[in-house]
Order: sequence, then structure tokens, then C-alpha cells
Amino acid sequence: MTNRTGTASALTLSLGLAAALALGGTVALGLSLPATVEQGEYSRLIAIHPGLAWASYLAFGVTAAASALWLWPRTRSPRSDLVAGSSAEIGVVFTALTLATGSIWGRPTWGVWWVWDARLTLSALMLALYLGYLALRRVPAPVDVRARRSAIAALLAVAVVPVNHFAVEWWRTLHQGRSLAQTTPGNDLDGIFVGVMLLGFLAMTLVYCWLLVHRVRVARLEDRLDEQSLAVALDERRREAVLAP
Amino acid sequence: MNGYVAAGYGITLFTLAAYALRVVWRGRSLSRAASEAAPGPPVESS
Repeated sequence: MTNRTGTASALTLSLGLAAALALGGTVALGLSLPATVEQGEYSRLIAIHPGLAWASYLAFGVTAAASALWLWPRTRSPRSDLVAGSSAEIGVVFTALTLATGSIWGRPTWGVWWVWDARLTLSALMLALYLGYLALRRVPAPVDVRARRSAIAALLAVAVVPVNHFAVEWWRTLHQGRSLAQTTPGNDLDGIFVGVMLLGFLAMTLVYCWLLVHRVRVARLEDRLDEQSLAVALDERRREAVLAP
Repeated sequence: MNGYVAAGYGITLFTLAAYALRVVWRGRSLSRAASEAAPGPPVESS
């Protein structure tokens, strides 16, 4: 894992291949979706936008779960803290992309790039909360202190995820209803759109998993290098002490 | 292809690829640095 190939392994190669295939299929099928009466060609964005949002929820859910594992004394492990931080960083990327693609979709269909309705505002709040979480992790502190306060922050921040998800039902918003609810009988989302959207969910999930494995390994290497730097510094101080008259 | 649709797909693929490359490259450089920075033999303190 930590040889010349960096963070790659048989697991990441398999995951990466599956993710690339699923993402390639999503893009190819998404771009070939038929134009709809309501939205014309813009409905082709359904292949990626809901999948990105799902991946951000998944990432922040994993951050919360790993944080809870760290806080529980019986399951506490340094790995949980690394998983929490890594997953949050990936979640921020997916959230930013969700907002970007949503804005690009909203401009031609709603007539505006941005509107302060419940879903969009909560998505922006979610991004801000997890950027704050990542900033908190960078505040210098002993490893245990950093892990504890990050875990508490993650468990508080995750409350915004279900509120954001159900915002389209709890408040009147410009945003359409929940994407998966559109797949139930009686809704007018056509079968091919549902299929491509679900493929998009799978593709973003695989991309998330691939990124998470790599990012956790990078985080472990960062910690190991910090420890090695400390060991070298201590060694130098000891040498100085021995050489001093 | 519609410009908005192209922008949506383009920004998604570009960002995911850029982030993935950043993570993989950082892993490689850290891996190299970790193997080079292995501490030497301990010094006896008198």
C-alpha cells in the first residue's frame, strides 16, 4: 500500500475500473436521453445531479458514523477519525458539484442561477458546515483532541442532511420533489430516465468509495510522516545533547 | 449539444478527475517521502 505505487492496490484498481465503467455509462446514456416536453434537453442533467447529491449525503453519513465509532470507547480507533475526515472532504466536493450542476440546471428552467428556497439554502448551509468541519480539523492540536472535537462537530453537522433531503416536502420550494419518489407508480418520470438516474446513483457511489479508500490511505501516510518528522527532530536533539560539552 | 447540459457534465467530470488526480499524486509523493524519511538508528543517551 505504501510502496512506489502510492495508495493503489488491487481493491482500488477494481473499484476504479467499476467506477469508470459506471460513470462512462452514465454520461453516454445521460447525454443520449430524449428531450422532454417540459424541459427539453435540460432533463439530461438528471443522470448526474441527483447522483451527486446522493453521494454527498452518503459521505456525510459515513463521516457521522465513523465519528460515533471514535467517540464510543469500545470501538475507538485512529482509523475512524481518518475515515471521518477523508469522507467529509469528499462530501464537500460532491456538495459543491451538486450546487454547481443544480444552478446550471436552474438557469434555463427556472430563469435564475440561484434562489433562496429551502433546498438550495440548506445545501449551501451543508457545504458551509462541512467546510467549517474541515477547517476545525486543521486547527493544531494533539491527535486525540482533534479527533474528539471533530467527531462532536460531525455529529452536530449531520443533522442538516435529513432536513435538506426532506426540505422539498416540508416547505414549498421551487425545487422538484425527491428524485426517488418520482420513480413510484403514478409519477410521470419515464422509465429510461429512472434507469439512467439510478445508474448515476451507482456511478457516484462507486466513485465515492474509490476516492475514500485512496484518501484514507493518504491521511494515514500524512500521520505517519508527521510521526517520522517528530522522531527525526527528537533524534537530532539527542545528538546535540550528546555532542554538547 | 445544449450549452447548459455540456457545462453540467463538463464541470462534473473535470472536477472529479482533478480531485482524483490530486489525491492519487499526493499519495505517491507521500509514499515516496515516507520511505526516504525513515528514522536512523537510535542514539544512546548517556
